[in-house]
Amino acid sequence: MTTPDTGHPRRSLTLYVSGASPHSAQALEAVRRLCDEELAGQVELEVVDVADEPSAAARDRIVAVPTLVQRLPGPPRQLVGDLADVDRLRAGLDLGTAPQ
Amino acid sequence: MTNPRENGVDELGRLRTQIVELDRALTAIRAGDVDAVVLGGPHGSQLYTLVSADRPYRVIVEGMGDGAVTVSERGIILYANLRLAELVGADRAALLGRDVADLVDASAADTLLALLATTAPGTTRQEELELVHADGSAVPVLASVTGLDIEGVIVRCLVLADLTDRRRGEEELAGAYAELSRSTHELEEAQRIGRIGSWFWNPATDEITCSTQIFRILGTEPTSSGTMSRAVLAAAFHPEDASLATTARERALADRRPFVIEQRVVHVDGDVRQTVTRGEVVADADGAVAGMRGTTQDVTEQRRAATAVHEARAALMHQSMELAEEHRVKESLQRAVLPARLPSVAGVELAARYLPADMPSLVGGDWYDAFCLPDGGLAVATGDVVGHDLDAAATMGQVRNALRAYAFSDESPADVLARLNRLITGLGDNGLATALFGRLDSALRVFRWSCGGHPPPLLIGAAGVRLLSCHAGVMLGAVPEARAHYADAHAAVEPDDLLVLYTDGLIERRDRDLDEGFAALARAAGDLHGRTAETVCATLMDRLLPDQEHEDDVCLLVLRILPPNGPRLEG
Repeated sequence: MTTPDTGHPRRSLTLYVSGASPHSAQALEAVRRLCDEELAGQVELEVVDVADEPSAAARDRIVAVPTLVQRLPGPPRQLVGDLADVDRLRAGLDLGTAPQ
Repeated sequence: MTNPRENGVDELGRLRTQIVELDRALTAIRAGDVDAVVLGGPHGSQLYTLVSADRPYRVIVEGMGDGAVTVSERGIILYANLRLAELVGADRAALLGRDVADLVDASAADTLLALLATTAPGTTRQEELELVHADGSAVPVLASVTGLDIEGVIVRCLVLADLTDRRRGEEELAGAYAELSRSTHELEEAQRIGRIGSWFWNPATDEITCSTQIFRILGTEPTSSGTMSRAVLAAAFHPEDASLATTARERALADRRPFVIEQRVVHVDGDVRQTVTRGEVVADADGAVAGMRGTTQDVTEQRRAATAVHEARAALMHQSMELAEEHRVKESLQRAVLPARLPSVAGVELAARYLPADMPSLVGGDWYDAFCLPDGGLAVATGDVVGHDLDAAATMGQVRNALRAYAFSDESPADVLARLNRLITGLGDNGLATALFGRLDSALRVFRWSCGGHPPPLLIGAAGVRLLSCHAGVMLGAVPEARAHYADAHAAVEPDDLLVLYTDGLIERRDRDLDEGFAALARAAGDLHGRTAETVCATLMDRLLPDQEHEDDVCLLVLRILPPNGPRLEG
């Protein structure tokens, strides 16, 4: 979980996972890494296990896991499936190509 | 032929239909109206059921009593059960996405991460750790880590068993053991101090389990097992006493009554110890003999002390009887030499007291005498023979009889004392005595006396009380005749005057000197002028020896000069 050091986070993310299933595990690793390394202090990340909280999944109209929901900034958008693909993840969050 | 516009409309209609169908399919899937979906994959289509296949396992894991947590290869928490959230005092949902190292103290994080990193997929390792509860307390756990490779993704499952109760149990056990050790030690100390040991005979092995003190009493080194056979034990006792134990044991087994036996133990160095053994049969619930238990005590010192007390008491009784006998002899001797009754003399009233000393062994040689002289005068004397034994009493008898003889010759009191001195020195038995001898001529109203080492007489006159001073001659028997000198003194007496003759027992106290004693006598007699001789006697005894305690003999002789018309009887 990443919490801001100062001020309000500019990004609000919710990652829906299903326990320790492989794609969920990879998605969580990738999202945490991105939040910790590139977006430190700018992201409020919530991780939800759909098995524990099915009502939360229904609210966001989640069809499959893992799904990353970005609530802010801009209109809500969803990234479904293989989040271990960093380029796809960055594109989905409008972060451009990975810095070298 | 084909109308593009119509084609476009058809295409749009088809897509619209497709979207509606897809939306319906998604809605059906979302609504849970389908059981499974068929998905394409590298190995062809696969069937995925939509009813959660791992649900039963979830139920088990959720319900299990141990904490369970699944972490990614980097140690990020993917799943945690309620029990784990409870162990660390956290909200379960909030644990997801956190580092598992947050669950333990910072100092233990490396240990945990190393444990995770070194647990390869397909293996399980265990280690004891301490979780940190939200309230700051440490929660000891046994962590079992299993590595899993799920389709190329490495995860690790931890099962954390709470060891708090086990730790507490271990601590209680350790405490109980320490308490037991302390109690055992105290019991051994008590046995050592009391020289008492305990034992138990086991009929199954026919051996006796003995406390450490038993071995000390027997003067042998404890065996490693702490047990002895009956034969070995019997050999430790005096040969004459060895059969006592066998007899007592057999009788106790027969009548089931406790027994007490006394046996001697002979140590290697020849020291013989006296022991007392008490024993009783132990029966089980069915009444069968389960063993015999008891104590053996070394009573040698007690017996020696008891013997010493007994001997001392016997010696004391013997001594007391001897003293009582000596006291009886001396008292009867003294009574024999004291006048049986005082003489009756015209113009003079007499009263006397004799009190032996409190200590029966200290009967002294005090005496007094009063007798009529041929010329009608009254002779009075008091004396004290030094010493408290039968020899002193015998000397007193001789002195008193000699004085009587000398008094009948018409000599002055000083001459009488001089002759008495010659007698005592001449006897050669180193006797020493004090004496006061006087003559009262009531017609002439004069008292003449002489003194050899004796307290002066007291005159209670109308004008007051005074000690009659005179030349104090030396004690009789102290120096030979040539150097001994005694002088006469005389004092005028009036009717109702009283003369008080006494021995030093009346005025001497350990806690005051002689001058204070004389002053006390004068005070005691201050208001007694005009009283009868008997009253003065009684009053002086009461006032000077109030509690009847007196360390020495006391003689008191009181003379009252009667008025010419006879005695007035006053209180």
